[in-house]
Amino acid sequence: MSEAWYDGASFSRKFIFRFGDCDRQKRASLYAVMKLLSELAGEDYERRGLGYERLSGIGQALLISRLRLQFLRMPLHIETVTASTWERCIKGPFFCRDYEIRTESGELLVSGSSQWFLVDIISREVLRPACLPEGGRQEDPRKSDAPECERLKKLEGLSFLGSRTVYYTDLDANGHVNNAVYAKIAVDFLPEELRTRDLREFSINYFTETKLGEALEISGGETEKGFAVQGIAHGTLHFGCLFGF
Amino acid sequence: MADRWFDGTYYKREITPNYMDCNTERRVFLHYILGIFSEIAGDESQAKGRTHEVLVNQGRVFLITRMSIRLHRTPCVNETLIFRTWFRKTEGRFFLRDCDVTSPEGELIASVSGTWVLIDLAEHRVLDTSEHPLSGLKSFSEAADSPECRKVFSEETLPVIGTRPVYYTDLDCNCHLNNTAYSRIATDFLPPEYQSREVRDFVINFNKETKLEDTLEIRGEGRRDSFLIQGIAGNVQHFACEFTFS
Repeated sequence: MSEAWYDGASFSRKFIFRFGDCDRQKRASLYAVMKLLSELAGEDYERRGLGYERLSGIGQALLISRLRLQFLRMPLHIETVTASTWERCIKGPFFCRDYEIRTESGELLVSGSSQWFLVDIISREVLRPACLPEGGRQEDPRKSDAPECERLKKLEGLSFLGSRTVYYTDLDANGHVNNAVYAKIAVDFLPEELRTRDLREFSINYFTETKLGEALEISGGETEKGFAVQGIAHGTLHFGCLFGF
Repeated sequence: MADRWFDGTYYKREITPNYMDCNTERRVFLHYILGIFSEIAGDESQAKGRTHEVLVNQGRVFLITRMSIRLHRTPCVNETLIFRTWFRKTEGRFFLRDCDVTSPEGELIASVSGTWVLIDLAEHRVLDTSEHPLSGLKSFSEAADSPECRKVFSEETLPVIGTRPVYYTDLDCNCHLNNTAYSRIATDFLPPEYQSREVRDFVINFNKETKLEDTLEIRGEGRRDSFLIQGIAGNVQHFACEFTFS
């Protein structure tokens, strides 16, 4: 297994973006970056005794609510990087977690902010952070370069871009569409001319879980803040995101 | 510790699948294992100086044509897996490569095989194996305990079970559907009663490149212990595969 280590509250792992992780320009895909960061956060909780099995055993799960990423440059095919994450603080119901991806020489490529919350896996009720069992949690107040997560709202008047069926392999162990898969869906429905541009910012909010058998109606369009994409099923907003190029 | 190394005979890689590499039952997806096999084949070429760029600059590229796997058991999330691959031999125009997947204690979990061809990018033709950039490839008599990379076909026309547009994120640097995506798509179109069954053997043929503008018509039919799936676009078969269940 690739090298992983702790430095105080910060958990880091070396990673190489491979062929299947990259787009046609041989740049890491947004999905691959989000998958790496999500796995890193999960592994950090796992190592601190708050992993999926422990929490599901007591009827709890930690779910991501918002993520905001800032890109100075996308990692490239077979580039070795170090990805790091740390829990920054608790704010209201949210566990705030930040991220960084750096080159081997320390050059910052990606920084991120995220907000996670604790739920009861049966009732789906949001639980207070204090309900999280004792584990080896540690905080580091250092803020990454990425701005704080923003609250995105349902936008009216966006153009219909297409419909996306939820497939079996989109689901994770929580039985719903995995958080990184939403980015993959959003990129798939971007206008072709935007996909080749350099992504500078990406912000996503997860509103409602999406299950197998559902179909997301994808809409999108240019806004003052960037290109917005949102997914709606049965009139309910499931995710909304914003690309800044 | 390095997660990949060459021990003088075999190229090896240690990996721990995460939740996102697993199904809702926390068992590792078939396409994930096949994807790692495909990656480490590339890793070995790269470690020996035959990077994708070098090959493309020579107007050549390796394309995978068939894959097969035998799952002695399906690995689970957070389980450490050691992939060991070796180039086995050339046969006709095919390069045959094998792989086994074991636990750190040496338990055999899966056996995988694949066949590749070398393509001339300008002429879109399959080159002879003697045109491989490195002459004198060392081959091994050792074969993995995987099913033969055989041709998958059906004598009858299979019923249509769905359609699958090709999405941008299905594509790889070769601008076509990545080989891993085909087995993922096949898994997605298995009926739910088959998705929950343990796969023992799986064989897949990659017949024709699939591009962004294509939509695959998915045809499939189950037999008692197997399920055959084909992906067709413009009346041409792009892939065919067969799952055999325990």
